[in-house]
Amino acid sequence: MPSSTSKQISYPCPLIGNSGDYIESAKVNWGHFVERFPKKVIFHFQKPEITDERLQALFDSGEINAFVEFNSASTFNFFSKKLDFSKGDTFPIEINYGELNRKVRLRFFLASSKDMVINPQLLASDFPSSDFLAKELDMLGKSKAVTEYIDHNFDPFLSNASSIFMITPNDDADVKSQIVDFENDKINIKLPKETFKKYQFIKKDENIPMIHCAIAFPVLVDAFNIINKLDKSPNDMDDDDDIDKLNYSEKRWFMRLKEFKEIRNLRGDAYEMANKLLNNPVIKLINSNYLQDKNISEGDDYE
Amino acid sequence: MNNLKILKEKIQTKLVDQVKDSNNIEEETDKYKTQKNPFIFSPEDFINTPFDEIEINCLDANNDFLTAKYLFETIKIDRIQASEQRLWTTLTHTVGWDYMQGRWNIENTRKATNLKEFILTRWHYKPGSIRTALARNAFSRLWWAAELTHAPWEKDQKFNCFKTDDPYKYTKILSENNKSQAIVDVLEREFGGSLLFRICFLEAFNILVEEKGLTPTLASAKLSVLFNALLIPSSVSAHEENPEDLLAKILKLQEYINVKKSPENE
Repeated sequence: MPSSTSKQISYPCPLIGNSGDYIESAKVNWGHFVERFPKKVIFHFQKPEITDERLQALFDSGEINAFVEFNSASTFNFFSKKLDFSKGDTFPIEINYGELNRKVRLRFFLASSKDMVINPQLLASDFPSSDFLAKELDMLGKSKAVTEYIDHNFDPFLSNASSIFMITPNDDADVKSQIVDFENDKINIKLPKETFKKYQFIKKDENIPMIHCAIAFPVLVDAFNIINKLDKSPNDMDDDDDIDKLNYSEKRWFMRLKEFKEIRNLRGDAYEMANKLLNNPVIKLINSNYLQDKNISEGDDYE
Repeated sequence: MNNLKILKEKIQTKLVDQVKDSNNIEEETDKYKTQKNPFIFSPEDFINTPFDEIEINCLDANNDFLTAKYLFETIKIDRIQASEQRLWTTLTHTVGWDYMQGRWNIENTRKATNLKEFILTRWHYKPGSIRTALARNAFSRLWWAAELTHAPWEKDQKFNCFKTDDPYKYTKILSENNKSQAIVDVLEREFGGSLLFRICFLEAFNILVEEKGLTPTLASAKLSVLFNALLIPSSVSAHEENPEDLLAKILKLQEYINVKKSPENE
């Protein structure tokens, strides 16, 4: 029996999560968290909660199963795993190093474990009948895509690639001001050629906390502004935001800062987040007594 | 044998910026048209890798399959390393220069081609989706074509039904002459990430071309669209299919393909 009310995709059965198939209160709550290790990641999936009580009962009795689909574009890996909650309310899936990298899209599905007639509680009122036939593995629910960033935090070619900034000279002699380029894996801070020469001289000094203040801090604020903008719901985004998303969301700096934001629980506006991540750079600068403190050293590739 | 060296990230970024930010794209284009490589690097511009060096005469601009096989057998990297753009950009600007002039010669592009985008796509990394970038760079597309298709039965026994003596059976189907559309369709579409989906697609594509005589370019383009449409409403069950059943379903899609027979097969 076709899903008569689906507005976008026609599935064999009505789906919770497919616009118009169920009434608005029909929802499935999915949850998970990720543990990261150098050579593997472990996803811990929580048992889904279904607001349709009849579907929940079928799920609890094993007549409906849950699946997660992984899509890792940068490793060309696209696969699905069944989630087994028979032994508890969470189910771990271990993924070996090399299978997932960078931006990983997850989608969750509910599917029938056998041929059966289902009569949900919250089916859309314009569906032609109160029940429908589901065949084995027919989809009964789908989630919106969620993204995880799996950055293995290592350099495959033995140089320092874990940092998110780099400082380079701008070859265009006519450009006299600093330009920041967010379009590569690292944020590229291009200094005018003459300024770059001076910078190279300065960086030989072991004490350059001013780098954080004068160069990295404002750029980091801009970077968090981009991240905050793209974290808005799709309805709040304008056309420019979409372009940014396309350009930035797969870049290493973007993924790493998103990860930092979660791990270090950075909240507030972009300034507050950058300030917290760099641990009060302005105060550090003042307290460091500028170039006399020899305790801190930085390269030109740094976090 | 020497070790493969790759450009430092700063050098690689500078190269791409020269194309992206150039006010004089003709000047940049001329560089990429030059038979003799105009890019000169110093030893300090490179870092060493533990991998074997590439030999110029093993890159065959007239044979995608042989070049894919050579790259795959020589550069023993994992998938995370293979998604790094520095390696592929280094090859296009150094040892692979002659290959680039033969395979992706700018003089042979169509009149309407945006040359800046062409250079960024084939010599560097196409901005946007990483899947597309990897599928378009002249060398990464070939390494990945081999990686994704080499002896699937060694990765999963359920592919024994398609097993032959040739571990490169599917690499050939994907990359032999006149089938570059298939590389685009498999590498750029989501289903190309699934071993099951891409091997069954290639098996069906090969049957349509070799046995039914359809033109490779149109067969691949149309079959991939139809296959994608088949997968969307049945993504859970499709992942669970056995290869022979899925192949039968894909072959059924030919009813909806109305393409001319390949002249060479008539």
